Amino acid sequence: MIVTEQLGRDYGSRMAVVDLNLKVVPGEILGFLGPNGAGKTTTVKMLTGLIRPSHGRAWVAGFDIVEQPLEAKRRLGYVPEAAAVYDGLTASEYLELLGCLHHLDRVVVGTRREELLALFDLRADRDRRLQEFSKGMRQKVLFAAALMHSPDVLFLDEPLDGLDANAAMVVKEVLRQLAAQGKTILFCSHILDVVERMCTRIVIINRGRQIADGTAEAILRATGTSTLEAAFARLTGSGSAARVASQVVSAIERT
Amino acid sequence: MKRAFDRAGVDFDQWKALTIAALKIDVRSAQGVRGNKTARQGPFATQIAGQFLIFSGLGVVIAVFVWVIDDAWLAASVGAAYAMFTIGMIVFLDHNSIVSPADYVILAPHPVTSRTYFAARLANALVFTTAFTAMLAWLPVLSFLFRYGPAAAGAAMLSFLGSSTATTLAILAAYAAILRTFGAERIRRVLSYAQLIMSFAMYGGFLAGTDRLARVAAARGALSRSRWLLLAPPTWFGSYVEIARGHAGGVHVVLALASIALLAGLASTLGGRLSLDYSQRIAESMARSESRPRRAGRAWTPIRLFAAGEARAVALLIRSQFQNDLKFRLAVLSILPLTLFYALYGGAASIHDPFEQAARPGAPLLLIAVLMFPATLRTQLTSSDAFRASWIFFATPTDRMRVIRAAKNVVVVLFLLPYLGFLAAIFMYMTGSIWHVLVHLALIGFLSHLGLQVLVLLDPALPFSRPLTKGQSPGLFFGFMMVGSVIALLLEVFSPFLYASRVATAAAFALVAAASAIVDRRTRARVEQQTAALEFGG
Repeated sequence: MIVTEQLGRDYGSRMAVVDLNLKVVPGEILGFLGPNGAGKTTTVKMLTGLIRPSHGRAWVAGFDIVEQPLEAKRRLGYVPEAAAVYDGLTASEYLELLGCLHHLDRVVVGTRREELLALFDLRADRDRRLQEFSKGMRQKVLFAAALMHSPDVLFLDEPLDGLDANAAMVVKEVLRQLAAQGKTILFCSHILDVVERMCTRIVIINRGRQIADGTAEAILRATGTSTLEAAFARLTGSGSAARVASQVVSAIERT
Repeated sequence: MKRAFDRAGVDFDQWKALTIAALKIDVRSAQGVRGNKTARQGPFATQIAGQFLIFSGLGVVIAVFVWVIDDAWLAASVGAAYAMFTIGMIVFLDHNSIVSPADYVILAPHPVTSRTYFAARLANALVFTTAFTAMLAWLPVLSFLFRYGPAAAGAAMLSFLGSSTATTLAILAAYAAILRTFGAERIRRVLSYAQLIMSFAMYGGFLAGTDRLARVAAARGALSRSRWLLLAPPTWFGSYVEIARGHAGGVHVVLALASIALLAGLASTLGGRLSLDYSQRIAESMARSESRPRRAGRAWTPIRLFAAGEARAVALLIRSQFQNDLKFRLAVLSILPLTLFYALYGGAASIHDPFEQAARPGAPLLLIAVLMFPATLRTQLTSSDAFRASWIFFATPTDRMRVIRAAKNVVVVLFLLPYLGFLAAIFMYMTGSIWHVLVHLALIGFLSHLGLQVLVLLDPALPFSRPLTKGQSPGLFFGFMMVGSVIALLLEVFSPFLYASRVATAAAFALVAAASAIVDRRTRARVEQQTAALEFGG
């Protein structure tokens, strides 16, 4: 379960997230959407303990992320946005590293590591350094690392970024099955059709503020649009794609 | 100016854009990654002030030397040697990215010529060289001004700038030559050995040169015109001062011309080797050399001592850093030739039966090296190109005190203890006194550990969690080096008294152990307080 109350974060005078109230229940996959710079990653960083909220509170798996951070972090898994890994390590070592930081038993680390590497088609590359991996392969390693300790809550920031079609299908199916098992999943993505198909509920934020919350159908109804793309554009105030495209083309043609 | 660039085959607009971008990137990397602008600007100004103080402090030695030595040529030559060493170390460690393949990836799709690329990269390196040289040289130049007049002061500044520029060009040309000569498969390994040899040559040359010049100065107070000494480039640049004073003989003019020829030759050599095409070859080499999988089953036995949890995690990271990061590996390995040099050059001053007074007094360089070794490594271990990956210390149920303490322990077990073993072998071979050596090195080892604890107390950083910065050797580390030098000197002077009786020796060990316990306790409290408010900086 993820709960936030009036959660916010500022960077000096700039408000990145303002009074965010969220509730994601077990078994739910929440699609967390917003334009670039809307505050999605800042929210996820607050919920995973990477940065501290400026105001408000947040609970992850029933634990206050500020007051009981270790309890919360024991129960959460995180796939960061930028595929940031210590790339001098091999895939196998990276999973061992995460296992150590979660204080997993060595036998458990060994077993899960091998299983996850095999499931993500990385067994042949287990002893290659991550600096040699493609973006998609790194993403698979990060996904595997996030699942190593069988977390109750998963935070996924653009988890499909760089994955090939097969791997993306596997990840989506894994997420569905984890949700069916009662895991709570917060899913940030810019791929709106994936969000529409996968997520049980969608929250949209813009300039740090929550501007929509509901199922895809409910959001379409409320905005009077037929696709999530159109609803998103209407809610976030961006112009029509065709108009912006023609402006871009005319701008580069202008001398 | 634009015409001059055009004549040289360099696109002025592209050169300007590339140079400004590179300088911005370097300055911003020095600023670090912080959340807001005001938070960035404060520490940056402090860092610049710190750098200014440190380099000015380094220049004080030369300023005093200029003031007390009667031979202006000798003073200018020592100053040039000092500048070459100091600037060389900075370029060596921080600016070797001039041959980085990353540029190729960014610039290849754009219409940038090789010459323009070269000119921009060179300008970037020279701006940093000039800035650091100016900070280092202003006090010695003032000394020249008051002692020999404005013409000599101006020539001294040119001598400092010329010698440091030549060093920058020579190091970059050496990198370029190495990268061109060796095949793709061997390039990474060759680079690490080359760095080791270059650091050996640099430290060795500096020690040998300063030792020779100090002896000359002590004996006669004037620089001998021996053929061998005239082969040393610092004397070439030092000749500028004699020419400016009107005291130049034919040899000074020849040496000054040689210095100009050296600069021109190096620039020309580098210009031929450093180009975008060249960068492409490097990128291809790197890609090929990195595609080999690590041999299966290869294990680094000592990390098995760290079996689980944070300690194991940190040990894994440090091992990978040692295997992959040339800079870190150099910091570890360069201590070995340095030790041999200190042993050879220091002789009786550095290595003698520690229970007895040294036969010949001298700086306890070896002691300073041991005391500083773990602190040097620990400073290296807080920064990494991959600092954004340190999110794992924030998003996992990690005890940050344990992580910080594990980093310290890993440095001690994997690096300090083997190094002490290496030293013990040298000491035993040279003194033949096993028991004395063991007691002495145990005390030094504990002191070194205490120093590491103090550094952790003052700067409790998570491993690999800060971005690498150019030319930003932390002031804290330099301050620590000063204190370490004083402690080494005191230990050298008082060690015969400490070892005069078992009671005195036991008291010394007890004192260090007590200090260690107190620092550990203070560290725990401080780390808990500091890391509670710590945020991921990526």
